[in-house]
Amino acid sequence: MKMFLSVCRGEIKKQQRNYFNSWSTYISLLVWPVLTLAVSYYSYLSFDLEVLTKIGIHSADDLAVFLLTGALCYNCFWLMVQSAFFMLNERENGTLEMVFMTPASRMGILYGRSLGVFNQGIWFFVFYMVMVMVIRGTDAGTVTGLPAVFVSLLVSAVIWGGFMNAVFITSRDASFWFILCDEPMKLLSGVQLPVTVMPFILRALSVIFPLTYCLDIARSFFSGAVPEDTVWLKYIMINLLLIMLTGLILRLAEKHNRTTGNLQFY
Amino acid sequence: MIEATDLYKNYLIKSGHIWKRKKESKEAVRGISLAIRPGQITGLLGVNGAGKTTTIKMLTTMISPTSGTIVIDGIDAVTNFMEAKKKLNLITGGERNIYWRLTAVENLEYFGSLYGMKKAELKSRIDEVLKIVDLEDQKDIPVEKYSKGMKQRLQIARGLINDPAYLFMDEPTLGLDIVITKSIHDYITKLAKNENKGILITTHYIFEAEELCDFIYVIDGGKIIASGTPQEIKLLYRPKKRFRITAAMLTDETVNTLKKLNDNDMEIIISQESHSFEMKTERSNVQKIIGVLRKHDIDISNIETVDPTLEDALYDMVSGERRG
Ligand SMILES: Nc1ncnc2c1ncn2[C@@H]1O[C@H](COP(=O)(O)OP(=O)(O)O)[C@@H](O)[C@H]1O
Ligand SMILES: [Mg+2]
Repeated sequence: MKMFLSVCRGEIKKQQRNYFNSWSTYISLLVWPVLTLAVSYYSYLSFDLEVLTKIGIHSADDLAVFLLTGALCYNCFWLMVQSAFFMLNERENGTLEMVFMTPASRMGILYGRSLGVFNQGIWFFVFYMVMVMVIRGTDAGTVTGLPAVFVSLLVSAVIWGGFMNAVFITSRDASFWFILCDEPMKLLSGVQLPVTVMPFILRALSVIFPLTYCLDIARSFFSGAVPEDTVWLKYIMINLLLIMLTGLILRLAEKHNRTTGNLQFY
Repeated sequence: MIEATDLYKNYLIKSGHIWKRKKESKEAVRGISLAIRPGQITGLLGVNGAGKTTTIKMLTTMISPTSGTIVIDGIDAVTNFMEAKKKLNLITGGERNIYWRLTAVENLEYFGSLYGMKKAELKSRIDEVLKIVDLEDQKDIPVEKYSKGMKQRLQIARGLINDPAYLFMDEPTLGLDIVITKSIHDYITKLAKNENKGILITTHYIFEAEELCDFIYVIDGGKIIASGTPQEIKLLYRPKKRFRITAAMLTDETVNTLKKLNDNDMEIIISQESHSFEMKTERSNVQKIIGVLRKHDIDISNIETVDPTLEDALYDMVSGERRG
């Protein structure tokens, strides 16, 4: 455990120094998501909002919170995918090989990396917080909801990031995953469109993305209700599953590496 | 001490199209046994593809041997590899495997954290290793601004961060110029002599092995074909003596006659511009050459013998092994 923490701390520091060391990075991390968000908000507004009442959106404010929440959660997850994509460079450079030379806790490496990039999501979270308070006011529900959203998002995104890192370490065809986590994940997890309005087959696919449950939880806080217990249960289940899968992938990868001299195994 | 016994490594190589995968086996290392002692520089000398990197990867626990044992100060490095990793570190040639946007200190902080080192311990260790490789004054500059030599020195510092008992170096001077190479050699020697590190270095530069190593294993085709001190290696395969003869002038006719003498026994390299030729042969054959020159009425201005280098020895060894 001490090893795990030391490795985590080292990774967090290194990630920040290596990848997020300029103002322009931080600004683009905020500017692009906000722009995309504005675009989708105004394209929705150009339609009749009447049809959205079916899915619990009764006003332009509701719509804004709905989209904001989608954007927040998606951006945090996407940040993880992006950072995991850097693994490809590290595999090529040989830094990854040097990391595996050490007796470092392997899970510590993965989760440290994810935590290190999650910081960048905090920018967006602050923006989100301000926007939600402006729209919803600072009543008790909002004030307790925000920290809960933050923590559940943090945990889930970091676990997702660890998984993505493991995938990118071991996958020969990384672009497949990169593409999957772009538009398909956005659509299937219900970032801009609730999962409930989708045809059954797509809804079935949404089950595999932890982002789906994150969104469920976050949104229910701001639609005046607390999340149902079953949502929490699903949330916990999928995250435990991901942790186990991540550990398994890593173990297999290192074993494969030791016999073939190569970390990629599929 | 590190003792490796009878190491084999077969790589399974999958090739061909996805529908008709072929599996081939490649024997990269075939029965290597060696020892690495504290305070000594051990060399693994061989041409490209000889199996040096594969051997070093097994010894550093990055890959597992197909068979054979590796014991590092009593730890079984094949089964208990996480424990063994604490005792060793690896430095490779090439400059990319450190983080270029980070400074020297930041790189070392990171790699130190991977060994679970505590803050205070790590800090003093970083000062120590930076001092060893003389990077104290540049420690807060991002690596991308470093020269090649500085990057390689930082690699050495990284390799020292966990205070390993054994340090492995896979062609650490690959692609570096002679001045930097010389300085890296000085650091390596210092590590063995002053810090009592057991060092294994692979190289295909013979002069490097000759200059640095206390003990050399010559490897070819995944096997050790000779071992000993640099002096012993030279004697073991006593290469043919080399003579350099300089004549006052060389006519085409003479050159043709001399070329005809070229055979298994005698290898003559003629340089017409400098009127000299070098030959690898027995002393008696030199008389034959002198005879030819006399017949052609050519004055000999100088005859000298050239000491065989380890390069000659390696060349003779490798070609001898492959023939026989
Ligand atoms: N990961 C690998 N998979 C399959 N074959 C390999 C692998 N690594 C090395 N080889 C083969 O093993 C042999 C020895 O390679 P290597 O140990 O890299 O030699 P050296 O370092 O002396 O140049 C070569 O023929 C090489 O092609
Ligand atoms: Mg090699």
